[in-house]
Amino acid sequence: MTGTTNVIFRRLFESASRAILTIFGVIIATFFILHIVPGDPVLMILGEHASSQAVAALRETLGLDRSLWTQFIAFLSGIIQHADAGHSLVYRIPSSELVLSRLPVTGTLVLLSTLLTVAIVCVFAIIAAVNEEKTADHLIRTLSTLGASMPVFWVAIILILVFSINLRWFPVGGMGRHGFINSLILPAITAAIVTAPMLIRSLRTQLLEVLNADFVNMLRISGLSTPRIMVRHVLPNAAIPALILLGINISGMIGGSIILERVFALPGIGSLLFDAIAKRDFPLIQTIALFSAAGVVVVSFITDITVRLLDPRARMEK
Amino acid sequence: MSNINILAEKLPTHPVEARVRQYGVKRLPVTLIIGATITLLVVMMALLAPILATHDPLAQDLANQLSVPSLQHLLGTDYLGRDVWSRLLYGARTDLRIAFFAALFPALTGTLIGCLLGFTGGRLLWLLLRIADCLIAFPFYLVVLIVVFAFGSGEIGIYVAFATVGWIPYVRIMSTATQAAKNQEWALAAQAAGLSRWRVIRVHIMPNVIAQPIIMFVADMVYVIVAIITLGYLGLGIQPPTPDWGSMIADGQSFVTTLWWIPVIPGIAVLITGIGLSFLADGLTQLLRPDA
Amino acid sequence: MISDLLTVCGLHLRNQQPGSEHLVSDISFSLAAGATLGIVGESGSGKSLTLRALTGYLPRGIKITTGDIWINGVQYLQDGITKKNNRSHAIGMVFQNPMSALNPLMQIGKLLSEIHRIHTRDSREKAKARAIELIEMVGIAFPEKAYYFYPHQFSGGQRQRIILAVALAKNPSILLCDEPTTALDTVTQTQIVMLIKTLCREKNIAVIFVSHDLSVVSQLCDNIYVMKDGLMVESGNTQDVLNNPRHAYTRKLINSQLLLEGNNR
Repeated sequence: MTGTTNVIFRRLFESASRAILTIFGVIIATFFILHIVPGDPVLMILGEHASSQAVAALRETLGLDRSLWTQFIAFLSGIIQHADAGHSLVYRIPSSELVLSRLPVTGTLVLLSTLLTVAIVCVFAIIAAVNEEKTADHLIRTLSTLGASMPVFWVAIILILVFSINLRWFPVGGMGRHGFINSLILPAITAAIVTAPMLIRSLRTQLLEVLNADFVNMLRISGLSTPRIMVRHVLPNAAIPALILLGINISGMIGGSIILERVFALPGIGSLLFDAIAKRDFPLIQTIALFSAAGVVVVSFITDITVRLLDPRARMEK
Repeated sequence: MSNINILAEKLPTHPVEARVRQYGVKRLPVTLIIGATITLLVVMMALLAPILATHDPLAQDLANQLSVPSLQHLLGTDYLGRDVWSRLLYGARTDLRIAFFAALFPALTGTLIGCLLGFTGGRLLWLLLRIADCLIAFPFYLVVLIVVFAFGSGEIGIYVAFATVGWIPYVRIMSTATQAAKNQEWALAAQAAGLSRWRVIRVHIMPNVIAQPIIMFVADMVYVIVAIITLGYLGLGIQPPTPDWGSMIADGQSFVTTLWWIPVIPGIAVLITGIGLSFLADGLTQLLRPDA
Repeated sequence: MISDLLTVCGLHLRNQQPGSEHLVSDISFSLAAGATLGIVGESGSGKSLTLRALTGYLPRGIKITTGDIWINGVQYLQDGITKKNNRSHAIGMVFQNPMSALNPLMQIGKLLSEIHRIHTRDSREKAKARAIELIEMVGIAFPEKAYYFYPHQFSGGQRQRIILAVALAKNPSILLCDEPTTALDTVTQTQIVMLIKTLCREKNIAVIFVSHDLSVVSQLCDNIYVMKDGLMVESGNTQDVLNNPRHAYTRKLINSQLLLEGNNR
């Protein structure tokens, strides 16, 4: 059995090194955000008519007076030491502090959205797969095409109209007076409505593949009831590719939450980003980008190793 | 020698040709017909906007603000008295045109590069795929916002934003497809039979491989359209007064309680366009890639 | 006739799309307890579908239009309409493709225990003991260890043995085999056939063996049923039919097999 453990560790090591390589690339990309601006970033921040002293001072703060390579080393060490791209130009505190202070809101929103999405996707994908080619299936499949076409902010507006303004079940926006979770429910539902359709289609396909496999037939002939087959045999087999899909979608979730925070006026990382963009706060923008991308890589990594651990075939040497 | 050539030339025809020849147009997938019809309708309305519009989309009529739908103004007027129906049509023109080109450029470059590197393979492909991994870690809307921030709002920003990450799916798919097709037995057999490499690519590999980026492009358009109007909503996209569905929704948001159709209808327009394109993509998949 | 173990009468199968030809037409045969029947024919002759019709689990889009089926005197199918759905108690099935016929995520022993407990309500320990017994019965070494193995840890031949174990796990009176040896090499083929023969004779299980390989069928089956394009062409005692084929198609089948075998010498 030690052979197996070795293989597991080796695969883990491979996944981890890939993740680290990607994060390194992410750091490089984030570094260049300051430099991809056509024209001078300092003038962009201070405006055309800034005094030459202010320009020089800012140039020094941002490190733009040094060579590109030196800048990068400074950037890298800054990340290693403080986990951020520098102090926010506007708030004058480490960007990472700002981001972390907003993390609870965005984090909870993403978590809630994900949970809701998983629930919706599982239910509808199973209904569609079990009723293959019947009315329920066609209906679900047609509705799923809507998913990609629905702009998240538009769905949000409609839901606000119906549930917040007309029915008064949820607050229209903002956070605080109505409670933490309460303010996040409607945004989470919005995110779930937009993300679920594509995943329903994918899970349905996976489920059908498994359902039509020989071993399911054999289980039926062996006398197992359909519910038992679904839960104990089909779902575990379909769950694995489904998990992979979920991991891929985390990036979309985070992006969606950025927009949603704007529509619902939630004090999260997304709003911080808009703020930073409006005030041209480069270090803050870079830090937010860093955190978001790193988050995506980490979640993908966790999904990857979870799948590897769950699938006995992956544990073996090929 | 000539016998072998004849044998090689008689490799199976493309499945689409065979199917259409055998059954005629009636056997085309339903989704394809529905999708193509809807998309065509939307495109027609956009193209014919100058004819179908009842007013100048930019013309303000401050005496007639926020009016309800009437015979004169089919969908009423917005807060500046502009005709909503005309703005909807011209918005379609703007949004669809920009979406098309914004999606086209990365599609073409991504496909070309993917095919090339897929065929030659090697470390260059590996490097490009690693770069793709890094870029794709950034959530799409994060990239869009940052690019727009750096390059400015408006059309340019949209093109650059989508060009930055849009090529990635194409390179990934085309490199795998080309690699796979290159090693297929029938391609090897064709080469062994003496067909030139270029002919193998053109006649045998290409038809099987070209379907994917086309389908992907159609599906991509949906995302690009949604992204454009999202930017429009945020004020970072197409700048006023050019009509754009996104800014129409933003403008109408304040009046959603009374004149709910002003923010809602542009969204429905996106939905319809998206459904048409999605069905079209599905239909094309069924037609061109029955094994998928 | 109806007192036989299994009787099939006038079975017709058709594709669901209107206007399609019948895939299987007017198939009738009966099987006594412990008897062995081979159904042969080329690809597309309808032999696999006939087998599936007996289990009640046809592929999507294929329907029974008419026919009667009796198992143990109980009528499961009348005029093409299913009367009793659960025929599973009497019938076990061995599939063609050992790769896809086992749940890749489940240990084989657990699978066998589960099936056993569905049918008997024994305790876990008893079920596990029975599972190990089954694994041993089909000729897999170290059954206590094999209990915990996953399907991909076995060779193709071993997986086929496990599938046989699964089929036997519920003590069927009829074993249906759908080309179980096609995906295996000749040595393993013989082993599996011998195993089926031995076990079924021991337990008095009737066997219906579908294959396009006449030599395999002749080793195992007392009676033979030749199908072509969904119709019965010839039937009877295996030795009789193979030595004195009356129908031209049967002759053709035999000749083509001999041709292949002759070339392989």
